[in-house]
Amino acid sequence: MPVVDVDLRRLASLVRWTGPPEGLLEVIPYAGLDIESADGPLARLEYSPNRPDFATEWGIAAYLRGLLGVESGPVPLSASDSGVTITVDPGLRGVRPYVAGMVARGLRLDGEALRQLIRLQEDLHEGIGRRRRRVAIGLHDLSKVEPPIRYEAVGPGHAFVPLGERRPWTVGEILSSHELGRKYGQALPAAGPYPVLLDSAGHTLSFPPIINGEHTRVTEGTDSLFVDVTGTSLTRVLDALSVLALTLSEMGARLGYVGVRYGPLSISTPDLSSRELRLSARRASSLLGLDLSPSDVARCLGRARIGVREVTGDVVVALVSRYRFDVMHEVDLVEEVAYGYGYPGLSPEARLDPGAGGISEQSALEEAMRDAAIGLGMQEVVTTHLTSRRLLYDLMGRTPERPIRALSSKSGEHEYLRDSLLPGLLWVLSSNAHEAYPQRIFELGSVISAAGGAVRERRSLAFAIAHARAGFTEAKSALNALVASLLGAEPSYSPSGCRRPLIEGRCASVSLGGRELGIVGEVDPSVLYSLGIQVPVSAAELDADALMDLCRGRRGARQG
Amino acid sequence: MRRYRRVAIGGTFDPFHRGHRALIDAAFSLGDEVVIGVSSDELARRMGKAPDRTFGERACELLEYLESKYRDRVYSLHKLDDPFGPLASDPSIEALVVSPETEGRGRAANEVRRSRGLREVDIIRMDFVLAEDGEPISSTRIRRGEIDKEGRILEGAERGMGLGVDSLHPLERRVLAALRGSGGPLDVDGIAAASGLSPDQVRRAVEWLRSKGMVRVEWEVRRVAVPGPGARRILEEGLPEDRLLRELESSGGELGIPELAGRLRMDSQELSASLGRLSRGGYVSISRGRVRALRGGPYSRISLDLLRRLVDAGELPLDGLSPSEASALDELSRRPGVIEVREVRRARVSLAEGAPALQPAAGSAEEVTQLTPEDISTGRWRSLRLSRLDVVSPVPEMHPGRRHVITEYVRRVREIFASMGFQEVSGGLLQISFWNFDALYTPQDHPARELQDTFYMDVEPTEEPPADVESAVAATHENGWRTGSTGWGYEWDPREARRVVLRTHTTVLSVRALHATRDLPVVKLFSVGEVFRNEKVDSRHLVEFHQIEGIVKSPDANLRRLMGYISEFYSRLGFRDVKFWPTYFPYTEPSLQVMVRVGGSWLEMGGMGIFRPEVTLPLGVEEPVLAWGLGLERLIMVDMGIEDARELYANRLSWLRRVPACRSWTWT
Repeated sequence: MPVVDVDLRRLASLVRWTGPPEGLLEVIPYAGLDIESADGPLARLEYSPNRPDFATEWGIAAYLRGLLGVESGPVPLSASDSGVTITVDPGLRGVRPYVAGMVARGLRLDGEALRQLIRLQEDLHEGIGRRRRRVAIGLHDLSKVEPPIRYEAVGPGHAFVPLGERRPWTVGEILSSHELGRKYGQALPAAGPYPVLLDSAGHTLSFPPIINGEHTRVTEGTDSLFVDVTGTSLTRVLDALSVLALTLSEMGARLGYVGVRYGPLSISTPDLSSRELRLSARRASSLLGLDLSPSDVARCLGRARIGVREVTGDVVVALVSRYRFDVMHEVDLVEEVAYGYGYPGLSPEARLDPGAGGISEQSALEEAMRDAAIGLGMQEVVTTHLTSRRLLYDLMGRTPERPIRALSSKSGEHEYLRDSLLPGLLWVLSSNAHEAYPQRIFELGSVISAAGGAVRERRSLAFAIAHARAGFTEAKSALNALVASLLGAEPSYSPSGCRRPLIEGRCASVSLGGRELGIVGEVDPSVLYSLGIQVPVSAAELDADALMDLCRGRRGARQG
Repeated sequence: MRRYRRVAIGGTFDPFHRGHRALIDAAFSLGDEVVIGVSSDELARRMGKAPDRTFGERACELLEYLESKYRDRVYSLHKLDDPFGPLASDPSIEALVVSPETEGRGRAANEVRRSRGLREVDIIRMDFVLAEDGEPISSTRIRRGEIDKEGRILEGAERGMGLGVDSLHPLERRVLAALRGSGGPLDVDGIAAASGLSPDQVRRAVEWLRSKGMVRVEWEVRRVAVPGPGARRILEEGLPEDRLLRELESSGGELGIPELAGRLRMDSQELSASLGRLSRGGYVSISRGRVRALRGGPYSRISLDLLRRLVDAGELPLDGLSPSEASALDELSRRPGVIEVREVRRARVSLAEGAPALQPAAGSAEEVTQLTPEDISTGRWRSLRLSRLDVVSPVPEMHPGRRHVITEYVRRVREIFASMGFQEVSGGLLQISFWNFDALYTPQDHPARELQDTFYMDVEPTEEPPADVESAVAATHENGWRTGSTGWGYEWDPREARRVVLRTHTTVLSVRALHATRDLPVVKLFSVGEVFRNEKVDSRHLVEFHQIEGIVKSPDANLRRLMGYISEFYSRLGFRDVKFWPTYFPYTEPSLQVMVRVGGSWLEMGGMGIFRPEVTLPLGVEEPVLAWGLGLERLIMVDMGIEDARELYANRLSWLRRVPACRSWTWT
């Protein structure tokens, strides 16, 4: 979740809050913002990625003024023609075709406002911009720009001074050697062409989505901005620009439209229009568990800064500002009604309606297995499904037949899916080598194998016994007792068919009624030695699905 | 005398007394190195002792002694936080020096060593060091002010009858029982005979009992005869008088005195004494140097019999003899070296008033520590006395089989939702992205779907999505389909939907269940299961954790009722203060997060909301569906006060074995 640092004093003045600024902390959570930390007048807020307008104090204030009843209805946004145009090179079709622009005049960008504006830019890059691939934004000092502007396709040899550099770099150089080029270069075709924004004086304003030019750098005190947004989706480009429009307008700027010429087609940006969306008051009431009239619904929407064009019968026709592109559906308006109504006023409705509830058959059977193992004095452990290749195979002396690997695990300790519980149990014994013996542990969990190509997930029950005199006999006795207490039957044993980490000649495969159940035996001392376990260990692993099938079979036989 | 490499000894040493010194001296005499464990204050309290002085003070006093006496020897002092200390882990310790009081602890230590595969230590039991009054020196007595650290009786100390049977030494119990059995006073030998103890043991026990005022001892002075060095010769050869008479008889009844002396090889003094007695008794007459027999022997049968009894018995009391025996003894006593008469003092022991009553069988019974099956089946138990055990000393630990904390909570959560009318569902860990993401209206380029957040596995697709649902989901993503939504506005890729992931939430199970139950008007389901996130593990993030998932599908489902279900769930877990804040999830609208109050702070426990129509309609579900996914690990951590999430999966036996089963929800 993205975070924003706010100064509650400035926020209070922006929302015309008259109480102590810290009092806002009681209100903020009910706007959908989480308080991650608060220290005096400074607070760090977490906001949802679908609300980039919350990336600055100005955007938050606009919404809070509605919820607090200071203002109602949509945030007023207007712009006049700036005379600035962008001409788009058709050669960028299929590369990064879309661009939009905006002019903002009369700003007083202090350090804090500049910082928050850059945070908003970064947030739009990460969220709706999909790490700049879909949308990227450039902010420029308008006084350094000589309109008209061209959005042009260039080759790798095009050179300019990138932001923060002293010498000209070629586009090719930036992509291969500059930190940002390496980070975001994948968004562009490797062989070019590459998009750049040039002004009429030939200055490179920006090489989207990688880096701006140094020439139009924005600093504290910059009073007029030229904003460019480029991307692969015109919708998302205009969405992003609308959030900037709201924020800069709230910061006190006068907005100016920029004309964008796609050949014969020309559009004017930013898009400050509203969408109509219809909401049934009955549906809102029913989903929220409230009894709201259509005019109640309209009033609630107004507090959530949603406009209302008209109310006809049960239907409220809402007007949604462009920057609220998170509102996609009638149910999103229902949520805005809840915000406007006020979440503190929504109380839980206790209702213990009847219903035939119960735990699943699998859980019930697994509880019976746990009880049986616990009755034998075993301590349950819970280990992870993802583990390391080293533990799963190397330390066990096993050769993987078809290991299942996670494609990009952040740690080698959680990379391979276990196909057996025994490595995990031995790991537990290893990490408890200093604890009192005897140690008898068991685990019931999922194991996954891909032998023969087909992925098979099944439940497994395994135990391990460790102490100075642990051996095959005790493990077999425990296994007999376990099976007898579950199924009232004694399994059969065969010296063949068992496997590592158990010792050949001191282990057996187990079956019951012709169905394979698993293996039991003594763990190879070489495995114990490499795990630092200093007492003998015997162990068993059983197919819990097979045990459950046999259990169901018994029940079937009795009922049949 | 040093037989061991390393010898251990342990105690609280509060105060450090003569008995302790004896144990330490013994340890140094037995071992090359001595390991001394001193109970920590905490341990001492746990073992029911309340040390007067701190560990530091106790250790210093000990050290002073060690440095003064064993400065040139190898020893080490250890603070004991558990009853065994190095004894439980040091394989080079070969022996443990104990007092009768701490012998039990030695056996327990060996149990522990056995269980860890260490060689058992030899237990060297030293007897109690006795105080002046014959009772053991003990810390308790010193603290009670009866004796000082050297075992000297303190003036005005309270002693005696107050002690009662329970504090008696086994020797004392047997002496008391013998006295009670005799009905009257006994001497040491009498008690020894009746109790089966050695006279030495009896004397020791009598001394202890006397000092406690439990027996009276009267000294009796008696004269006894004991055989002298010549007694045996008389018994072998006969009295000289009889030898003389026999010689006379074999020589025709008359012989000269020199001849007699030569034949009998008697010295003249013995010969003349014998002839004097024979002549006074009328057996012989003597005239002019010749002895003539008047009548035959034996001279004194009674003297011979008396002498035989005396030699057999070793002594005869003079006051028990008949008058003729008395005169015979008198006569014998006048012969040199045959008998001696001595005066002896003898203790007559009798029970004092108020001596405690004992079980009749107790004193004479054999004392055993461990009852055996044979003792019970043969009836031998009737004559056995079970020794009193040191019930304070520690015993080996025992570990029950137990559930893991996590599955314990899972079971509790299942009980709650089942009892609230929810049916449990379960499902696989591996899922195709279609169910895990696409059916939940998560766009295919959503950051949560990237490799760095989600575990994609290198396996072929495990299943095909149902064709009708797939086309509806595709259309919903692209243009909203018939859901009334704008959709995401991109081209949906069916291949992306078939990539296999480790499920990132249990919501995937709810979605599958919704599809499976689409013809039912009302559905209430829950599941508890593992989910996976490609995270860097730290104290707040795990790669694998559990979610508590649930849905309610019903025509009249609404947000306030959702809040009601969740409030009820947390209240049944013992969290009565619950509040809800709005939040955002891609697949629910409206969305809430639930906070529970723990102590003074509110903690976020999970998310919930009403599934978007973009989720439900493609599944064939028209009704609103309430859904939630709550954290399980968070709940456990809050409930148990665990700071680091990794603890839950560390499987530390020391924690799992000891964590109390009684928790906040146990009684709710």
